[in-house]
Amino acid sequence: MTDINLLKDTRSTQEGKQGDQKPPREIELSTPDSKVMRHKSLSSQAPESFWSRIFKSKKKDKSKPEVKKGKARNIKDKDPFTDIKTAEPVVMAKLNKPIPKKQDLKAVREPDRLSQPVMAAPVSSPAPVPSKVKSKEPKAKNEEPKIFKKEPDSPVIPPEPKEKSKKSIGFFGRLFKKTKVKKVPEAPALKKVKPEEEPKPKTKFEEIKTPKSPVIIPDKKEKVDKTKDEKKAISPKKTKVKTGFLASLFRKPQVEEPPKPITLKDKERKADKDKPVKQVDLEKKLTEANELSPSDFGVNLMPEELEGDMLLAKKRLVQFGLLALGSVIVCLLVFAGLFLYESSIENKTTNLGQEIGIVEEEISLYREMQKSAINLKQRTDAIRDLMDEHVYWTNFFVKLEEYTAENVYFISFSGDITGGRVSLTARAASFLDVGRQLLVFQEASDFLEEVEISGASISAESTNLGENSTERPVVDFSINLQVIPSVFNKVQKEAD
Amino acid sequence: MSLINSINNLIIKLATKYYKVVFIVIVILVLLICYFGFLSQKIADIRSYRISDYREKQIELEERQSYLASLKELNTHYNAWKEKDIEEIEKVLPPSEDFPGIFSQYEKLATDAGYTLRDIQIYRSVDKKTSEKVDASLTSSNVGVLNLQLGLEASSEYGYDNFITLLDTVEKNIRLTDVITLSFSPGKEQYRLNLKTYYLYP
Repeated sequence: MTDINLLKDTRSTQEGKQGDQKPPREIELSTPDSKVMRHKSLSSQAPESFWSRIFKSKKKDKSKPEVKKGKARNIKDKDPFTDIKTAEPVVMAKLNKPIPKKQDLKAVREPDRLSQPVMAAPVSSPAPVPSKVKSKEPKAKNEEPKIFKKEPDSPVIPPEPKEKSKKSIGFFGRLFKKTKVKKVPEAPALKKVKPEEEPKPKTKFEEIKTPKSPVIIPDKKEKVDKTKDEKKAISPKKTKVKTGFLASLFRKPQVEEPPKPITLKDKERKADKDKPVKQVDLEKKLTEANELSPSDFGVNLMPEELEGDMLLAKKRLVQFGLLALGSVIVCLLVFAGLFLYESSIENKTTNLGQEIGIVEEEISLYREMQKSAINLKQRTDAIRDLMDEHVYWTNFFVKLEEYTAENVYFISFSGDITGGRVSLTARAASFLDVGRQLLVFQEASDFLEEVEISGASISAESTNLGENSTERPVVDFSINLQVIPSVFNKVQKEAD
Repeated sequence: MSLINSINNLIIKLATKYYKVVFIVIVILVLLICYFGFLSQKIADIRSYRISDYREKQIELEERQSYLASLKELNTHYNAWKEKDIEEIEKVLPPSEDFPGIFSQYEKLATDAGYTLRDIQIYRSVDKKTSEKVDASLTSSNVGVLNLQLGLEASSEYGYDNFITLLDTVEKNIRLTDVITLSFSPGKEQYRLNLKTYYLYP
């Protein structure tokens, strides 16, 4: 981005001629960080006269831009002299020319020289183009910008174009001025680039006077286009503005951005530019530049917002990954905890098994005792049960004695515990006694359930009392008894 | 490709914008995957096998320990029994039929009561003594029954009192004996007794 003020340089050159100390050329550099290459045209041809354009209309291949207020940048970009297609051959042409000395700066200021466009190379330009760069401020034209003294060993002194508005070229000078573009031998191949056109309302003057065809640089087009394509990708879209003669006459100076401070990098770049450049080096650098990626130039084409989004997205992705990894680690820790828990339970289970084994061994010591005890217990239980069913005939006879009437006694006895039936043969003194006995048995409810006397018969019973034997009548009878079963039990006996 | 790129861009945008939600979703997803991947299986294994085994072992140990305690208590009670008492109990309910013991014992009984043992008949009863009041497990399975028929003869001097004494002796015999039938006929002074005696077979 270079803005070259030819007027200032011219003045300074003239002042240098007049004075002893020639002030160094003043160069104002814009910041290289803007990443957008802007071109400032040498406006030496801008104020071409109407007639000169008529006579040179066929030869002229560059239209003069008319600068409008507020559109200085676009106009400037579309200035054919500042266009990269034209700038490169000019630079190349200048490189092939002998280097003018400081004192010969006049020659540089000649109209044919002035007509040559000088381009300031962009920051990322592969080929260092020597140029005087100056950022012009409309408000501070008289202000002196930062001054850099030209180094004495600098072999290349680029021409100092004058600003169009301040050029002091006369009418005839402009009339017969030639705008030839010198051929540069062995220039890099350039491509033909179609100029971008945007529909814009045209004035009458523009419709008549401005050429309709886009600017075409003969011969060097293809070579220049190659570099322009690269620069075009960097530079913003340009708007073509066609200006007429009158418009060019009344054109106002362009508004430029204030100069930015010059950094050390710029100084180095300037020093590089001042060095002589060979054609071979240029080609080499151009090819290298074509091979380099945008990142090698330090140029980031991505918008900052998008870049920020991408960075944020990358950051989030990393965070997501870390989070997932952390979650997996947590799960693994839980798994490890479960594993430890499982192993501890296994150990506890094993310990319990061992304890069970010890208890079993202790139990086995009591096995024999246990058998004996069990046998004894069974025996005692059986004895208890048998004792509960034990038959006590003595109980029966006690009851029988109790319920036997006087003058009655029993001769025979037969009893069966199974049915509780008892048959007795008894003898009484009289039938009265038999009746009494029957009555007693019938009243013995706690002893007999049923009493039955089958029959009674009288007979004589002889008794021997010493030498005298006597007989007395007796009554024999049979009794069948149904005894209550509980009479034969132990409880009954204890109660008795 | 452009569609894929646009989808990718959209995903990236959404993930960037709602990253907190995505964080939570990722955590939940990872946890779920891990849980259903291997944690649930492990937990199920621990629950179904380890813990159940452990509890079963615990219960078994407790049971064994309580059994051992009961055995110790039984041992204490068993040791409290005197040897003589245990022998006496075996006499009450002998472990076998013990026929020689039957003959000797009942002869002695008759003699002690003043009677003479004329005959004795033993019938091994197939049917064991059954009673509702008696424990069925013991009586039906372990207690055997022997049926005895005794023929006693007494002198004319002995009477009713001697007979009651005989009955009392039989009832109080150390080998448990029940008089099932009893009969005596006057004049002959002969007594017939049908008895049941028991034994405990293993």
